[in-house]
Amino acid sequence: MRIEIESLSKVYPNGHRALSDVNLTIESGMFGLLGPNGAGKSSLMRILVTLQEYTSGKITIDGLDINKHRKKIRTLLGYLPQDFTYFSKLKTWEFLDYAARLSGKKRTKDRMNAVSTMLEQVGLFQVRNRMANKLSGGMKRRLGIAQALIAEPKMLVIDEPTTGLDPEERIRFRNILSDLSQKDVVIILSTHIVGDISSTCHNMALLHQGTVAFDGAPEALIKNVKGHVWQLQVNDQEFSFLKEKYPVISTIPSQGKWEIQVLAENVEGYHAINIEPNLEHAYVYFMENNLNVPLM
Amino acid sequence: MISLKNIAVIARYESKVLWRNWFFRIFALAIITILVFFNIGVFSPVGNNRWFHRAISSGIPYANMVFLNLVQVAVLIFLASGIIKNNKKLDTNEVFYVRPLSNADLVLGKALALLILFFRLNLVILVIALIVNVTATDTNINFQAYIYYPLLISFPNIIFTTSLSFLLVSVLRNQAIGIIFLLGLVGVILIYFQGNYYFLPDYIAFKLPLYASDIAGFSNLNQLVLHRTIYLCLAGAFFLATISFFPRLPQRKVNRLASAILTILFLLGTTGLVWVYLEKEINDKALRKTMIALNGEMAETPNIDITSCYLDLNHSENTISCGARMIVQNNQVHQLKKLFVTLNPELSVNKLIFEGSALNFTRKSHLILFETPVPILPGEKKSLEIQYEGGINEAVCYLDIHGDRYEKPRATFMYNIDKRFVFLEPDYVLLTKDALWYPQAWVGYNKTSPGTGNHNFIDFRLKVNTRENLTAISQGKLMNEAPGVYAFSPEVPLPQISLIIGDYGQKSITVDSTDFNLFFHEKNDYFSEYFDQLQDTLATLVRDLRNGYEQDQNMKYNFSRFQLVEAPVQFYAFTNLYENHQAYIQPETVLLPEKGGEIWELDFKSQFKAMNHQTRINNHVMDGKDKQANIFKNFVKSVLTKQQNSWQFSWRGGNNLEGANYAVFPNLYWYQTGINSKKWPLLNKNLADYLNQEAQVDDNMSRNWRGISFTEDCNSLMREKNLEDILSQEESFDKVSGIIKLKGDYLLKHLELQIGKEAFKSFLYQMIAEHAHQTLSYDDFRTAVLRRFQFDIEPIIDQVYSQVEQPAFIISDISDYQVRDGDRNRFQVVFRVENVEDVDGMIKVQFHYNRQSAAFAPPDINDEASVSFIPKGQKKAIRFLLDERPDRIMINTLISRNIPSVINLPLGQFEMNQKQQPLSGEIILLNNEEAAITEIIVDNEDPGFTTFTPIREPYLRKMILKRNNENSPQKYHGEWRSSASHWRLTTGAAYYGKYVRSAHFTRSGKGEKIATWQPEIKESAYYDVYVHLTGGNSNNAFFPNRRKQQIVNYNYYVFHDDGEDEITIDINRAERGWNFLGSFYFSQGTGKVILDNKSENRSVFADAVKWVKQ
Repeated sequence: MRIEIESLSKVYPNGHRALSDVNLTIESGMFGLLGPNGAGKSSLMRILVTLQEYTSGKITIDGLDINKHRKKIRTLLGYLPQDFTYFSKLKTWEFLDYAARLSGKKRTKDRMNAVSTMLEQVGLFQVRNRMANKLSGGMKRRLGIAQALIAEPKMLVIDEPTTGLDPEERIRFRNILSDLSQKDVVIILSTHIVGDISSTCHNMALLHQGTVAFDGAPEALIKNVKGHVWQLQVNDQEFSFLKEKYPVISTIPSQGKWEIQVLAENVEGYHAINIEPNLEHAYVYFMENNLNVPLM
Repeated sequence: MISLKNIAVIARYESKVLWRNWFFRIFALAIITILVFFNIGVFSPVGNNRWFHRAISSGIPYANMVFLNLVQVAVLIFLASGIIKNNKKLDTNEVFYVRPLSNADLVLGKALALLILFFRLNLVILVIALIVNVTATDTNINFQAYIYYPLLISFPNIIFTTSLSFLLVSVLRNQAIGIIFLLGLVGVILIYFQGNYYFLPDYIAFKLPLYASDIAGFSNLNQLVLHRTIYLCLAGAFFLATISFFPRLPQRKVNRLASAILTILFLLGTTGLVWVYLEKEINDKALRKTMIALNGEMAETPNIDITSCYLDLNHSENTISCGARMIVQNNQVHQLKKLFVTLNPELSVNKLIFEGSALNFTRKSHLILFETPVPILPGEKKSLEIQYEGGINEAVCYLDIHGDRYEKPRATFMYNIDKRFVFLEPDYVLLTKDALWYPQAWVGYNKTSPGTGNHNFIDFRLKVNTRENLTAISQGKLMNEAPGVYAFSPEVPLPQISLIIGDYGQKSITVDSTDFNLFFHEKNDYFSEYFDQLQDTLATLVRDLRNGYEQDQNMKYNFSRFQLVEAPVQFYAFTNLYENHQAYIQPETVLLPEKGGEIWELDFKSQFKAMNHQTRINNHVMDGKDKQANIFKNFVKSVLTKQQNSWQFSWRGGNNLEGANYAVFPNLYWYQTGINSKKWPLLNKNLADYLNQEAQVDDNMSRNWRGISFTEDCNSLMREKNLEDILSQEESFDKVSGIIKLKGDYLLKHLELQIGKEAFKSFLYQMIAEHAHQTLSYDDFRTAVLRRFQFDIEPIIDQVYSQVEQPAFIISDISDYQVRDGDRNRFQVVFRVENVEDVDGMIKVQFHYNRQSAAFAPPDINDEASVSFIPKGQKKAIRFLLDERPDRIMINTLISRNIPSVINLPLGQFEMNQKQQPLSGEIILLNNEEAAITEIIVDNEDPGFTTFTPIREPYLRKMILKRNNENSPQKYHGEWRSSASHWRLTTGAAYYGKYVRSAHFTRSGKGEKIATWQPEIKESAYYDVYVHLTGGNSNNAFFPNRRKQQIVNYNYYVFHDDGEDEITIDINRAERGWNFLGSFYFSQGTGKVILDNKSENRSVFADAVKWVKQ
């Protein structure tokens, strides 16, 4: 599986330029799409799942032009949109069955088995006869994941996958995706939550104002920030002072003081320790330094 | 592009979702409940409603489908627009949008979901209907109807409404606007379009004539199917357009293009179908126009008469082929060379043989024009043979009828029943002379001389060859030569012949060598069980009824057979203005509606029920046989002989001239003889009406609704236009035929007066007897009258038919008392009448006796009316001496300016008057009894009368009132209908007035509305003041005593020299006529009386005030 995006632009009828000259190559495995709100993530994903047209450029999926082979491509797709809360009056299993039938491969028996298996996999088997719109937020999310997976897609596009999931569910979800990424499947995750990507994706892109600001492995991004993340212990007064001076990434109260992490070339005093950066640090650093977007 | 599997999946789940929709569930439950009650109430033995509603097997499924369809269309609009709208919130849609489906799959799947849902609902309703149908034991079950009604009514409606909703919501991208538009469209179709434009806009099939007969099935099935196909095709276009507009990227770009192209193709297809649909209608309309024009051209062309006509007819499928061998005669004074006959334009003529040799002919629409090699001399007879074949175009019938009367189906209950005049189908045929199925030698309706209908007696023979299992019915002696081969030889010449072929059963009885035959459709014998005990008495019963009728009519039924034939429910006949019967009556034959139709006397179940009820109330003992005989007699006398009024009640009063009339009278006159006159085309009809002793229905309600009676309306039109204009211009049918009746009545009354009633009548009966089975020319008739009575009828005929001016009668001083006449008391009624106009006139006086049940019942036909001639300007006192005490007098002013034209008043106490001599007859009064100058009367239409209404009405109310009343040219208003928010004018016999008796009335209130009478006092003096009242609340003519007990006060204010006096009168205890208010002094030029609208009654009436100088 290989998705190639060349010089992709999307301009909405109201003149808003959502994507501008995006070039990306996405191979099998998990791919993270990171970026602040309005960076163009949703537009890009909706274009990739054939819900929207683009203005110019070219997208091929396994060499198939997305514009010319929509039907073929749709057979490869699984999609979970960002908001997935409003259902028509169908039972949980019916909803999944409806999706399974429309993806259109299985015979009744196989399909019913697949539906049951999937329900168990996402932990909804107990509530299979409950109306989908009566499910809790997390359950709805899981049902969304289930319907995206039921078609055994080759290309899975997931918008904000873990919103509304509790930590346990989140882990389960990551595991499902990890299993899947072992096969020849492209999984595109779009998220604000950097942690989702760092723990699963081998590749990622950072979108900013419709353009690709970074494209590569998360490690490459992290490498940039190496030596620039400091951990300090400060009191209230010092905290106020440092907040003005450096971008503060995390703040933890500790014994009447604050344990904070800041991004800086060098920090003198305060018992500052240079710590190992993670993707979150890298993201903020990148935004601050490369794109001049202040953290606060 | 389309995957049936995907569509099925979508339909399955979407219909599941729809079914879980509470809106739909509540609707479904409601409609099912309503229809269960409706079915039980109307069709089941529990409800036992009118027979006609369930008589024909298509009725129950049809009514259910129409009912359901009307309601489901609204629900469908909501559901369809909801299912297709692109709900931004419904993000679960999008996960399906990324599935490998085409947009067509999505749209069609959703449409199919709706179809499945409503199909189930329809199925439930049909099952309910079927169950009720099974329980309604006297109704046949027509299983096919349960298939074709949903297919014709519901199915196209569901599909089309869905497609239209889909398209609108997709294009507008707004569900609310879409719904409002769609509901508006439905409203417009139901209320505004209805059946207009040949039903084309009526996609809901609300007005489409879909009622099917058990005898002849659907009428015009082709057109009906075409109509529904148009909407299916249009639905196809709309679905395809919806697919193009669907807010999702198509699978392939070419898909969108393909659906756009297909949309256009479907639209073209629809246009084509519409064209085919309308083509027939438009062609028919054009044909009718052409025929009227051609008739006009030929109307004055002299032509031969056909004296004998032998028809040899083959019926097969939808066609006939026929050979007509005729003897034609030149009855003109000149020789004839250019001849014509008429024949239905769809019948093509193969051969025309004149005197043994084929002639060339030209065909112009229905005309066959040809020229003989040698002229036919006056009186000469020649042979003519025409061979023709083809179908029958129904559009040739009733060229004089147009507009809604002709085009709109008959709507009764929930049924729309097509009006059919001809049937020519593989298993059913009904042909009357109107169909032009055999050659006729005269033209029909035209505008040059609308009344040129020929009335000519022909020696007919008819041989029919049809399918073996079918029965043919016509006139004359029947020889059934072989199965399917029938030969009819009428014993006497007839003016017309008819042919009916169908699957008929027969019941016959021969009484006094006349055959009485009843032909009914094989499955439609619903009546036998009710008359099972009559077998041995039927002959006597029939004999008595016949003799009674002949005696009442003073004429003989001269045919050898009398047949009642059940005709399909759609068979319809209009009343021809120049004939006094409808096509339901053929020679020897009455075509009764299928299963008795709406004739209440043929609803035997109800008849027996009513009779049992009646006997119980009256404590009568009647055995089954008597009951059966009574029901039978009741039917014959109410429907066939009209010796008694039908029980059916007509709200429009006695002028329901459009209604079906199954009276056999034409067989006594029209089909036996007649007076032919080109000059007086109405004379024959008027004579027939005069001779017809039918029970008359009185016109009672019109005044209460409209302020004046139907007759007064007709009189008013006759003052505006002469008869010729009324006939040729397009006035309402009711009025024109009412006027013809009034003119005829007037003419014959006039002749009666001149010649003597008895003498005139017996002369007419003799003429008829002498001219049996032939016509008499007007000139011969005139000469005969002249010879017999030395009296020329022509000036009177001319005068009556052409006169526009009308007399006006002031009728006054009606008094009644008892007088001694020898050794017994008798009852004397005297009144004065003055004809104040410049033309002579007549009045007809009748009395009503208490022996009749209801006060508003028309006078007994046995109580003779007396007619008085009142020449112009003359004043007469008319006196009656009666043996029996009457309770009402009815003075009918016939054609006059009088309003009311019939003065119908209760009579008084008949107190003994010893001084009066018992006198009867008329005396001419000299005109010197001028009213004393000392008397000043201000009537409500005089200039001295004014009304005042404070206008404080809401704007909307005013607008509605304005629309309803003020812009209408109507002068008088009925108390029952008009909004009396301000003073309105109405009429009535009890009001004061010279020849227009009127009063103002308004709704009662707090006294804010007033009426003022202002006299012209010329001399200062004491005056007695009187007000004119109807007495005893007789505004309610039907229940004069109902409110006698109650006090109803009117407040009068008299303004005089010494100030103002308020005088209250209890109108329930007031005298009819002048009531004294008091004596007051009035100076010259002063004084007035005011009445306010404060009263216990619903309305207050202001009539007249009188000042009498002391």
